[in-house]
Amino acid sequence: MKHRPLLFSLLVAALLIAAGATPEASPRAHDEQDFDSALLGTWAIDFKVPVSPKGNDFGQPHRHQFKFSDGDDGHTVVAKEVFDVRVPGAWRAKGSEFSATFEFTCPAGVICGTVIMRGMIESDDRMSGRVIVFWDERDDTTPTGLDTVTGTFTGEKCSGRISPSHDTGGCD
Amino acid sequence: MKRVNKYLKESVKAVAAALIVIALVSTVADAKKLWKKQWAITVTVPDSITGAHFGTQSFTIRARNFDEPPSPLPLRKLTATTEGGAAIQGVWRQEGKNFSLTFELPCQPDAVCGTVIVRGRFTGKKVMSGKAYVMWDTRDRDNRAGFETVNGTFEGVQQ
Repeated sequence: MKHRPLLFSLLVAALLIAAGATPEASPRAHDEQDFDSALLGTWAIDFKVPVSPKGNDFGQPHRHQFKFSDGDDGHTVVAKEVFDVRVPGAWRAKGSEFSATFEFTCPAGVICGTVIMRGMIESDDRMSGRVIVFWDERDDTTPTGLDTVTGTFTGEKCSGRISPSHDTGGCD
Repeated sequence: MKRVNKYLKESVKAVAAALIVIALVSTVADAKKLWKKQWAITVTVPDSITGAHFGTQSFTIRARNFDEPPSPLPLRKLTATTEGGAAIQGVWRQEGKNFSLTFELPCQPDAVCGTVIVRGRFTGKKVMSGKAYVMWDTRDRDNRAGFETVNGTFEGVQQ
């Protein structure tokens, strides 16, 4: 009975702390850049990235599903990996050329990295380009001082004759 | 009456203790989470060899740990607002005191455009600093990235 006020106050404190950790409303973003609407939509993109000089591995040649959007959140892109892991990114485009950048989702203690894609939309349903990975590991032989590796990608748009596949991460 | 007074005194003490705990927890939490409140960062990057200019630019970074509508996992998006008021989308990650964030620069007509990577560390309760990298759209065969890159620095304070 004597400890009831203390317990009550701690409960209030816990609720206030929890309330402080709730999601904040996303600000509406505006971007005045030109963009090619052909980029918008879902793409299945195949990557070929070699192991970096420091031994960091992007993974074997693989295909991911990318969804490029231009909505309330601005120019965002989400890459869907296996096990439904989603990697967020942002993009810009000018004419048929575009750039997109991502931060990997990494477990604690693992060397992580940042990805930049520089590509070109070749037709309504085809894209290709270069992908550059800047790993967190130091490499004094590169201009940035970061372990860097460059690969390539090709993509096909999942629309019309082909639709997104929820099983493969690509198009059906 | 004595019992009520005693009860009130204990309640006041307990609430005061709880508020102190909240203040301490929120101060520590704010200092170590990129997505708490917003950050004013100033990025300085020298001109590239081919003359691509970044100079010193300030951004207000508002990172978000959750999405609207909710996604299965946090997508860790951010909005970087320029001094001119343009809002640019980006993404971030954090492990302990270290973090990385990246966004695409707003392009100017007839000027080369680029992508910014900021790799930093919380150096105080409300202070951060680190390195900034700009990868320009200009091709560079001698660079392992295949594009021109320039190294700079940044510092930021929580607002």
